[in-house]
Amino acid sequence: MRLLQSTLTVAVGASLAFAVACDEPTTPLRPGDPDAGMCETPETTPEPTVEDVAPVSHRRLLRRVHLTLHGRPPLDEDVSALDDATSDAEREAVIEAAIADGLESPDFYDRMVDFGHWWLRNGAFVTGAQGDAYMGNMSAHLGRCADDTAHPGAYFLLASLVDEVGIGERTGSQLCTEASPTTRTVEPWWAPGTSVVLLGEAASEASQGTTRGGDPVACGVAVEEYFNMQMQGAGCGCGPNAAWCYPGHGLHIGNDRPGTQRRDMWEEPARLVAHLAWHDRPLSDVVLGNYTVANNRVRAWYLRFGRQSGLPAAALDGNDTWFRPDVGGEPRDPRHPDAADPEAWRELVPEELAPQLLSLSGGVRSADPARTLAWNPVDDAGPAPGLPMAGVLTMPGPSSSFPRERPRAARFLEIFACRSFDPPPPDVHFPPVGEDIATSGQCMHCHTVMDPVAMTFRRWIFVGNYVPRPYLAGVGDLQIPTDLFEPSQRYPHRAWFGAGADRWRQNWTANTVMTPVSAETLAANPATLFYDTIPTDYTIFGEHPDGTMGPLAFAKVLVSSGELDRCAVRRIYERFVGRPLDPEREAGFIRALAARFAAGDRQVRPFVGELMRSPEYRRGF
Amino acid sequence: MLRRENAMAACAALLAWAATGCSGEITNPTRGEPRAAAPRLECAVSDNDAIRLRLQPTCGSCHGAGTSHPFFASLSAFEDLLVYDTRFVVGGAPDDSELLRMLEGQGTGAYAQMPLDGAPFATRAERGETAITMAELRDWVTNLGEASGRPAVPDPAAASTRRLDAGEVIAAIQLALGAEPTGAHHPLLDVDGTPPLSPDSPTLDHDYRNPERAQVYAMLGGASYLAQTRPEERWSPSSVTAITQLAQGACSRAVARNNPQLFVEASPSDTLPDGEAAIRANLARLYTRFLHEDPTDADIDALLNDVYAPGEAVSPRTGWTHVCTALIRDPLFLMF
Repeated sequence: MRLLQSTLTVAVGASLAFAVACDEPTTPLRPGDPDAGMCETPETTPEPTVEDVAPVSHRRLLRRVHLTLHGRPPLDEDVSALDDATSDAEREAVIEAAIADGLESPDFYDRMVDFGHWWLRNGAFVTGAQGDAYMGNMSAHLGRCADDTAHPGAYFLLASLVDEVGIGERTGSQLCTEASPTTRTVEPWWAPGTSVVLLGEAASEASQGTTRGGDPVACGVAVEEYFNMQMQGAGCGCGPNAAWCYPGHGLHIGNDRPGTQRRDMWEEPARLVAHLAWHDRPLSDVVLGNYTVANNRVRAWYLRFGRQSGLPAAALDGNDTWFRPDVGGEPRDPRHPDAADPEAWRELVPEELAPQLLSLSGGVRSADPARTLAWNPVDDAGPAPGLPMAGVLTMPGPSSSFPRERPRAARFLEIFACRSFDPPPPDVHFPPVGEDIATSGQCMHCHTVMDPVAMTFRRWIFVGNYVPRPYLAGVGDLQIPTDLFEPSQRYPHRAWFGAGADRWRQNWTANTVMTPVSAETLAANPATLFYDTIPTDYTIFGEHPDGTMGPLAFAKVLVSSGELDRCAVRRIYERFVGRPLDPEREAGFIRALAARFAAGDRQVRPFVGELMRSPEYRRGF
Repeated sequence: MLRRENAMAACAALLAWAATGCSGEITNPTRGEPRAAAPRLECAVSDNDAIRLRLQPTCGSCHGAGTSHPFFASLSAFEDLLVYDTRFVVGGAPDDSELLRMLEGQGTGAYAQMPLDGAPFATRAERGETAITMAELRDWVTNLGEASGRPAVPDPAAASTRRLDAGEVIAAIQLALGAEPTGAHHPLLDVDGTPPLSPDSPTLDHDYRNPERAQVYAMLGGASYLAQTRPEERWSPSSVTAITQLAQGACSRAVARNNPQLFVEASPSDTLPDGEAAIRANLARLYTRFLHEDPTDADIDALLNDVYAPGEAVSPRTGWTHVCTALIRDPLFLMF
């Protein structure tokens, strides 16, 4: 209450000063009147500052500190420490210790995970992963023998409908009762250091199987079946360390409970934010970095994504350390300190497991903005080399949650540049809508900003007949057919149309901001629809992109223009100090904060500490 | 508590009055009477402000308060976001100022012209459709003064607090009642068999009551990031209703269990008037425990006379449940 009264006093003082300035203008200035004069010079009174406001009590401040860093008020022992202090200096020491200790507590990591979810806003990992069953793992699904069978705990390949819904004759689970099926004992990727028994076909390590038509086919690539996924060829099993299989099946793992891959893929972006804060990495790595954090299930996802795209099998299948948490010593989250814990969220350069996500650094962790790749389907022939990794901008979770290129651009502009896409005022007139909504019609109000960014997000698509799965168009064996739009080929190319080919042709119009490709070129080579390099003569946030392929060019501009810094400090301030900054009244303060944040190498933990030690943090009631 | 309510009401009234700012009616200088049909005008307080007000009729509708680029929301916004941002205006160098280039339809950035519609500002100005000419704008940029030097500090008048989010308030209730904050299971909060549970909880299990528990959490204003729903930014009628019911249930359980943290200075069997001294001391103890603030005598009087005593008329347990609930509903408990 003391504080509230003080705040009120400040408000009254400021308002009265304002009234004196404007009460009696000598010559009222009418907008448009060039001869108009000014108000009288306002009587100057010292502007109130945050320091003029009485701070909250030490008790209330301690409560704030604990709510900020632990998500709860202080414990009894924390309060006792303050009660035992006998001077303001001692009380300040208690507060300082609470801040310092809190910033080093794993609770701070948890708070940053929560902050990451709040900031990044990606929802459940569903698009490209989930129909009425989960197929996001791109793996053959495994059932497990019951305890009262001949092989308790052993795994078998599900036989599609039979095991899932009881339709058909042969079931995979029949193997559980057979006396001597083929077996293989392996150290499974999901539980390193242990062993499990695989039964029947699951035990196979063959690298090549046979299609129903009798053609040879590479194992390790899954195909969709009703409710589950299976190896695409007879004779294929689970491969090395059961890396081609997933311990569970579609109907039972299609949820977001802890321990499910679907939840992990949703978590990944927020975990990266928390990881950067915890390990004092620059927060800009969230868009510039070629790395992520991943537990074993997320690693399995990237590995399957690599193989599913037809990328070299031998190197990926030959990797026998990807699932071992104690190999490599990568920095990890503080909640899983055990070196052997497969649940630990530890750093990963995805290129190691999914080579189409390019590190541009030889596989070394990097967020160097000098990383670059110039490639586009108009000037360069052949398959796309991949997509340069750009933090969350190229992660599967957000690409699924924001499922098309323009929503992705809009959300990322909102998230990382604090842009809003409100409808234009009703009294504003626009030129008639033409071919390009970025330059004509009411749409241009938003698309002028959105479309140059959206073009970079078009390569991540979802292809499939039952549950679509994620692919990078034009990468690996997913080459865009040259006869894609031949009417006679519509049925053979139905998967492409399921993925959106009609929409691409209609919305990705030739010679527009988003698709700066001629109609003739698009007609001759539909792969050029996926032109995802922002031309260097475009301007984003007042800067010209450097010609890097994909979202990485946008990431670089986000950082170099200062937009990311200004937006990030606003979000951090709102979450940790307790109120949103007002860019209309506090633009100078936002710029100053952003400058300090950038000067501090964009490390979140010391920045949060600085905010919590500021007078502003002590203001409230 | 009454003092706080009165103060907040007065504050709201003052803010509403101050918000009228300079946009009041123009007074007839000779008769001192308002001009009946006078438009609401603003008065400029500086050269920059005069430019702002003359650009505003053309630019303000797209660049007003609450927009992505609120250049015309206020003089400070105009200066901080536009005039002294060298991406737009370079003092002394009109030819290098992107603002003027855009107004002339020669923008080099994302926007080739302003306004976005057909004719750029310069053309409109030539037609006499704007409140300021390009020549005047070039002259202003050429002679642009130094920035006012407004300190880059937070706005001291901004409300610097927030509501506790659902997870925080659940943990705060548990701690106040003497329980450890737990993940999924809150015995004290198990009101009607549905203790609140975040639908994003990392401790989710197979429980058929989870949807109902998630609903209680949502009613408290909790987020579900999985479902892309944001946390409630302010206490709403719905969330205040939910917290009231939750507090009543939790307090009733804690009081019925004689939780020792609730009865440090008084026993559950103390009654008025004989036990008034102990009851007052216990009220002060609970006030500090729940609100992390020392109470005044008036605060204790209010708790005793307005909350505890009417409840004790039913039973001491009811009285203490009322006190506990009132403290949880206190703004000091619910806010940051």
